[in-house]
Amino acid sequence: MADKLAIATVVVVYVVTLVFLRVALRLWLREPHGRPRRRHPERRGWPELIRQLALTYVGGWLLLMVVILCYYGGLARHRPDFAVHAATGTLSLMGLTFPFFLAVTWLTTRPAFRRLVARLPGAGRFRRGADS
Amino acid sequence: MRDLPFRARIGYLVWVLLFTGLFTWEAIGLVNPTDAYPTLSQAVRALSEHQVGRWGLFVVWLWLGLHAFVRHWRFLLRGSAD
Repeated sequence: MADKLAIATVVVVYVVTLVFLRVALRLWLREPHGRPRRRHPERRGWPELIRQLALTYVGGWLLLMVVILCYYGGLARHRPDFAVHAATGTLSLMGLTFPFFLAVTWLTTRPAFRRLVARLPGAGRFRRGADS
Repeated sequence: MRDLPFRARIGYLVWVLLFTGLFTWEAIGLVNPTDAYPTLSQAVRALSEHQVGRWGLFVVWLWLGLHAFVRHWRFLLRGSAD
């Protein structure tokens, strides 16, 4: 049972990955230098940043917990402490990465940093992607 | 820029081949539960036994998150005018 479940999971994830790649290719061919569009571009500043971070971090974590509870708890029948470790472990990693990602975002949006990157070899490709 | 569709298609094919290889290896490892074909979780567990391996995994995980979620963010969500 466990092997069949594991194989089925691998097949499902493989198919989802290929669909994701196909969609990404179509989007790229349609708009080679396109960027993700924000639904409400007028929303800026701290409140919107906090809302987006909460959606990304908390929403992503909740989705992961749903997957863990449904798959590992419901289907694969792992021990209950697995879910506890999954919850606390991912929370710890989120706590570590949050300030790191925020710092990297701040750094890469500084004009001085952009000027430095623009002088590096192959900077034209980076600049087109960043400024479009 | 004229070669962009060609580059995109080549990139797509390379990713498809990489993922196909990875998932095929995983399936073989699951069907043959021996050390000859370790699954991804076995490989990660083996790497996690050493501190250097744990740091390596953490860096890879950061790199993935950075490219998937952070690379196109604008700090405080500023527009391109800044």
